[in-house]
Amino acid sequence: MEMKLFFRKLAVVFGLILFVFVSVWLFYSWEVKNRVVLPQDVKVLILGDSHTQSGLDDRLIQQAVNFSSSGEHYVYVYEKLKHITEHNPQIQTVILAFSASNFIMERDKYWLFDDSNLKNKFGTYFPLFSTEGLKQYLKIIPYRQYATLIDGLLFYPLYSLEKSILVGESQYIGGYFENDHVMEWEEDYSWEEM
Amino acid sequence: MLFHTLDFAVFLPIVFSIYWFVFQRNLKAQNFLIVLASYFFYGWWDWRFLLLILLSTLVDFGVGLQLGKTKKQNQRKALLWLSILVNIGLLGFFKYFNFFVENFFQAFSFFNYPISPYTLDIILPVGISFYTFQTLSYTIDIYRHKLEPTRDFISFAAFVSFFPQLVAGPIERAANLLPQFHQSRVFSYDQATEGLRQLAWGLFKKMVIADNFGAFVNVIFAQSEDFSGSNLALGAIFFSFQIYADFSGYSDIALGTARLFGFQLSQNFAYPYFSRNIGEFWRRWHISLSTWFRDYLYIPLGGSRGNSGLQIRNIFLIFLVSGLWHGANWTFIFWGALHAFMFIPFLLTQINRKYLDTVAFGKKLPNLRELFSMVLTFSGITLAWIFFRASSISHAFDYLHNLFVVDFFQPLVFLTSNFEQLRLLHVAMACLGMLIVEWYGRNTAFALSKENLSTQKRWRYPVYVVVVILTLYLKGSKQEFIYFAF
Repeated sequence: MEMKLFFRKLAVVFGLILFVFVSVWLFYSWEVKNRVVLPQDVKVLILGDSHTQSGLDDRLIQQAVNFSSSGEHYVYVYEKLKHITEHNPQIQTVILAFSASNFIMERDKYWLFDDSNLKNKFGTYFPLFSTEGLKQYLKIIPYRQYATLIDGLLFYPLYSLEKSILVGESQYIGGYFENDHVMEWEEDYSWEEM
Repeated sequence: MLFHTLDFAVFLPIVFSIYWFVFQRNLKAQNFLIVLASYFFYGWWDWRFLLLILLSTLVDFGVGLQLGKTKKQNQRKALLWLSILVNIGLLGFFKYFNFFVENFFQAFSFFNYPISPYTLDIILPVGISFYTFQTLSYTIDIYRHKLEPTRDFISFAAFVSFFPQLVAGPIERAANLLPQFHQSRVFSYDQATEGLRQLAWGLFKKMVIADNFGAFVNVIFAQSEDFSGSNLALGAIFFSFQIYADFSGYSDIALGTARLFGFQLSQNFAYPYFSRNIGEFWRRWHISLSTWFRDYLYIPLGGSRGNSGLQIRNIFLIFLVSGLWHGANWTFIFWGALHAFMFIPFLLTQINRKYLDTVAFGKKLPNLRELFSMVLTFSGITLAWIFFRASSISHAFDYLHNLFVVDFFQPLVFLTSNFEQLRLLHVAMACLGMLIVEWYGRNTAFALSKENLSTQKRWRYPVYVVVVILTLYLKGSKQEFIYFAF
């Protein structure tokens, strides 16, 4: 009898917690999916890692939008590309990042399997994954890192919500970024020094 | 296995289910399951060191039985010494061998006899300081005729290795815990829910406050020469909260888990940062260790009887041994000595036992005098923690030098990104929340207890949900429990 009561109350608490998380996930998914619905005049989509993120300013390229993000593994680029092109049939041109770093095995592994990257990328992009894409993704991620995926799911949607309340900005899902490294490089190799 | 991992989240429900559903009416099977689960829990870290627990268990069980049989004082003394030698021997070898050897040879070098020390590559077995003290208390109590030896080996093995408190306490007395293994246990709704509340509160303290502060503390202490003033002051304050949330959080998880299995462990923390002097602090911090030293070392040495000289000697000995117990490093010994220095004036003026009640009892807020005493006590404790956390004595003094000598007000340079700033904001808010909840619950066994929440019945469920969600959302990068290293 006492055991039954215990499990019933436990279920209520877990149910409430789940309700909060599911609500936040649904809101976040809706918000992210809305953000990638592009205006009809956008014909060029730019995706990739920091190379395109900081190299191609979509304010200067006509009818283009840049959703690149640093440290982006092509698994995520692929899922974003699939989702955005499916929901934006007006896209005519896609520019993808491609560089020597794509061939460096260690870097490739790091962008995909490092815990903080895994948590950040999955927690941010899960609304954009297709069912098939998610199945494939879960196959390549080792079981022992599933806890990290769950961490990402628990953290980023709430983080996005908090950020939008505190500073009016949602979670970053890509975009042109004036990289500090470029600025530093410009300072280091300025004409005056040369 | 760590309490705040997915491994434990899987392990606990499995053991709980077998314990209550399969072996519900079979006490022996329940005890046997506890032994198996405890060995599995410990072996998850390193199975080789299970042999040490087994050795300690076998020796003390045997010594206990023999002590119960023999009346001859010489034989009883010899048996007690056997137990002490085995337990302290294990502890001495694994924890202090290299420390003593290095210091012995350094002493020779001081007299111009440079000899290179022969040290061993020894792994410190997790929890050895805790379970050796626990088993020692069993044989000492039997020797003192305060306890009857048990003839039930499984119960005794379960008492030594009980997984909730095996690796970081509370250091249980046989008189409290062992009889609980002999009594049949029936599932109690009240006890189980109280256990879950305590477990949740412990996880919140550990994962949100200790782990987040820990990340900042690691940076500040590792690069303390690059920081000054306010950064270092914050580093010390953060460590004060980190170690409190870490260890009291661990104790809450341990007590809560034990309750789920029908056991009542001793309270290990009683809101120590609300203490009004250092004497009160030591009655509220790591209570199971303080009372262990009081009963098995301080009182046999004469305690507070005798002249002032003897009293000072005893206090110094207790604090130095307590410091050494924490680790084989001069920093811990120095930390112990600092506490002795802070404690002695209160002892000599006989006000060390002035505050036996709870601060501002029956009131919502403390008065100015109480607040001032608490802040002053906390400041002293925080300064002493610098020695506890520093890697060496010279590191601690450099830290203090940079803290006080260089310009105090500096920008917070340890915050390297916006994300770090947000994290600091999170943990500061969480810490404030913890202090408020603990302040309101300071008369109860733990802050989130039913007793504390009973006046706010309608808020109970929202409180549980908020605590769990905040724990999952704000948790910092996983760090080992500080006291695992002891």
